[in-house]
Amino acid sequence: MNNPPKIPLRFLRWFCREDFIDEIEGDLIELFEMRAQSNLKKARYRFAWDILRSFRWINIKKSKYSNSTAMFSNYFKIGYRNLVKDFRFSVINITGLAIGLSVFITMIMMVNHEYSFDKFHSKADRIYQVIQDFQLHDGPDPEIHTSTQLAKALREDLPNVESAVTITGAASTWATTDDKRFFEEEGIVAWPEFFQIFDFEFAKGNKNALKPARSIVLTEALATKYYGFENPIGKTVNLEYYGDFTVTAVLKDIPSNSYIQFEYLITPDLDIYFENTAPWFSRWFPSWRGNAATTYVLLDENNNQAQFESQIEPLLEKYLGTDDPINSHYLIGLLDLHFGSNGIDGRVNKYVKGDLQKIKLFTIIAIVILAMACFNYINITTARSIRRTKEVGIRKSIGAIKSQITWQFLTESFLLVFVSVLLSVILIFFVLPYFNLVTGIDLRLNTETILPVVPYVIATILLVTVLAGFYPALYLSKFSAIKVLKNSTINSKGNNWLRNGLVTIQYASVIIILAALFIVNQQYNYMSSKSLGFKTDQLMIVEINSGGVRNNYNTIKNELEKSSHIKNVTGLTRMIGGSRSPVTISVADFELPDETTTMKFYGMDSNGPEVLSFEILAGSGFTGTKGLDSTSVLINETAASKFGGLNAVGKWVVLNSDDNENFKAQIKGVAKDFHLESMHEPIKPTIIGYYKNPFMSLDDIVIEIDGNNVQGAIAVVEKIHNRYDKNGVMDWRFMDEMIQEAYEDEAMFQKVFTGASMVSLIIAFLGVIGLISYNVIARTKEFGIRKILGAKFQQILMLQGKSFVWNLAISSLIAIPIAVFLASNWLSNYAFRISLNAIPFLLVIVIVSLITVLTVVFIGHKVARSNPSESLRYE
Amino acid sequence: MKEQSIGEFEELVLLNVAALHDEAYGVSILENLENKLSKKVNISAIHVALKRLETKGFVTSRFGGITGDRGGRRKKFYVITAAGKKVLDDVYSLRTSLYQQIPNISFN
Repeated sequence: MNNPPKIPLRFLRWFCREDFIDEIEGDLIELFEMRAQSNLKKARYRFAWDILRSFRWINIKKSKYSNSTAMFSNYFKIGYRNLVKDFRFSVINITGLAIGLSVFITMIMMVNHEYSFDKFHSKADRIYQVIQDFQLHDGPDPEIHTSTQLAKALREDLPNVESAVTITGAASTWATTDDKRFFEEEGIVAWPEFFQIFDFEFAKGNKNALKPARSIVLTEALATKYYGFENPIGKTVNLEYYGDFTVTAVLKDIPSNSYIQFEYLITPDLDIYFENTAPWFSRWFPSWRGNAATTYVLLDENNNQAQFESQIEPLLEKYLGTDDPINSHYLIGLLDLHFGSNGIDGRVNKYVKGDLQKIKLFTIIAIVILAMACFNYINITTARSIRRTKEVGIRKSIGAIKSQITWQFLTESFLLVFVSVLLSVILIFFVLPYFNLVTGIDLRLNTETILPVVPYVIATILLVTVLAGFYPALYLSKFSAIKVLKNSTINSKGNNWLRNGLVTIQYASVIIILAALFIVNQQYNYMSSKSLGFKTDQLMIVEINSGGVRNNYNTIKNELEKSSHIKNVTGLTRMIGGSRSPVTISVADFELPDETTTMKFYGMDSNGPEVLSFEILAGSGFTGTKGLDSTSVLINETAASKFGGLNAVGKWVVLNSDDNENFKAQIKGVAKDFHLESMHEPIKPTIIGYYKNPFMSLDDIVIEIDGNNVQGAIAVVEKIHNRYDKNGVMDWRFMDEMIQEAYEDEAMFQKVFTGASMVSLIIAFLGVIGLISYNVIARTKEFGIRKILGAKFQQILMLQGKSFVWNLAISSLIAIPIAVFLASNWLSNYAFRISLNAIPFLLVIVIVSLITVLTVVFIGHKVARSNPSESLRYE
Repeated sequence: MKEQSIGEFEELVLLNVAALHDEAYGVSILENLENKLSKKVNISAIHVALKRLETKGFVTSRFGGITGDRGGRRKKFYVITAAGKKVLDDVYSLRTSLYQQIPNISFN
């Protein structure tokens, strides 16, 4: 007789429950025997198939301990009762975990946000930005600027380009609607192909919105601002610089994870705009030589970036000719722009570049803080485990196995973590605005940002449950029932080691974070308060944004100087200090024209050196006579060292910019070194020329005001400026504020570490409080006996604090070398930096020790002071 | 007690149990059903239906004796209960009464 196949049969016997096996196996074998008579092979196959079909929940053997749901509900009940019973420890655990988790979840949201940039465009992987490298003599100079003509040529001439679009930032201008007037700064001039490439979501209208001439597309926020609940489609918006535009569509507000940011789009109808610009601009802008726009391309399905880049040079030669060298052009993928656009100059609108360093720093801090919170849980739970030994003993003696006890305690930690997550969500809600303020990242709470994060949050809950709960669960489940029930003391040596180890790590983390705070703080204060080598007080910098102001600079200067609130006025091509960089030119001694030195060039009015109080070491400043000053230059010490130091005065030099100006000038004086850029950079050789020069036009008016009436002075300046500026809007700042902007990163680090220090301190000391409180309860009797035998108040306190002092000492030994290493590494980024000394580290240790001692005294003083008769009666 | 409902496949299996009185077990029900329906039915579906009918109280079961066949496994015989018979009656009368309401005009 033929036997049914063995392996499926064994599988059936393995999974099938005992009371069903006779029926199922019997029926299957009977069927098999019947079928085997006609076709054996088929019968064997059918037999295996039937077994597979019988593999159903209803037929499956349930575990021997099949009362699992009842047990789990019991675990929850016991867990809940324990939470309530030891309320104080629960609060410590939950607070710590909630803080740790809220930091961690915020971090997850931030990482998710930073990596979600521009993914909402359906063709994002095929969209690229064209970068043009302007190749300076001192290295590459990639910029986002290209010719306005490029996109059209790419579309028409290159086969693998699906579409290409030109965009350029719209000038800030007044927008007038029916009866209201607003100053708008965040607009884009976009050619009609814009919506073929990008998928911004429409609230009203469609992708053809930019096709009709003189169209404007508003974002929802702007549409509401202009028209409230009225339908904006078809209405006319007047932009002072650009003329009338008709609203053809409304977009949903631009998501914060978009590289391209704007509030409105207008079609490139620039005739009115050109009427008000310099005549050369209206010729330059639409020409192949005019680099006034940004170009995006959408490649076809083959998405061949290399092929595109190889075709672009021949294309440019076709339109530009081969007489002049052609700048190299290449692509950066839209998805890479957020993190990959560092070092590329130019931006269209307000947008904060992604910073991997920042993300890494946050991730590390969040992990450390969450780990610290987990350590608290482990410590407190294992320390208190003695109180649960009897329970474990009884559970075991009535039949619980080890894995069930493990599950029980894991369930308890899950319960705790779950409550903490709920609390942390509330915390995040309150903390997020502060977080956004500190990091400059725009995290919002809405379904689009929360939903993608949910799986990670669930994973975090499970991870923390296991991390925090696994060791205590394993530890508790190992108790032997007999030992525990016979005598309630258990040996916890290994536990003490672990506890001390974890406390040490916590202390070390706190010390490192606090030390980082102190050092960042010191460096920040050093940089922002160190004298730059010129006057920075009471200087008002007015940026020149219109031809009207630039051309009338001398008139404006005269008018300003008449006011009693204003002490001095000068003009600069680029203000010194801060993060804005000046032009670079090459300079050579007239007699040795081949030995060129690269220098930073600033142009200023004759009284510039005087207003900025440069210290002239040799020679003189400008004379004030235009004819003479226009061929005079000053150099700084660093530059002078190339021309024979102070003897450089009187020498003639040749100045060359990239456009080969061959400009001759005489060195009139040598100025003491000053900081042109932020303290990140070393002082570079610098040359100061007259404000009317071939290299750069006037860009800033610097006004020294009377400190006694700042408001009055500002009003005077504004009134005079606005008479010449068509917009009537003055873009100005105080010099010292502008300089601070160069230290934004440091200011951010400072705030981040302030927050991190506070959070880590709170968590670490919650742990210390928990352990000491436990100690006090567990050793009440011991302390009572000690007191009877003559121990003093201080000795009892010492007993409680001793282990913490040791932990602190060891952790300082570990943490300080690490902190010193990290700090010196970080400081090496700065050309001008503080020298590391012991003070911040000592200060940190003093602070941490002080808080520890205070905690010990605060919690322990009661038991140390109490009457032994009371503590011995305590049960 | 809440009225127990019965699914279509369960009804077919229950009818078979009733029809094969005293001889109803997995394989016999399968054969009968496949004959009448003239389509393939999987045995495990019948097993599941029988388990459901049993928990609903429409059938009872008993084991047959051990024989040399079936790898030494016992047959499990099912018998319809009074409740099971009542459900079949209810379903039958419901269907008949509805069927009789069909007007004659429709399909001439």
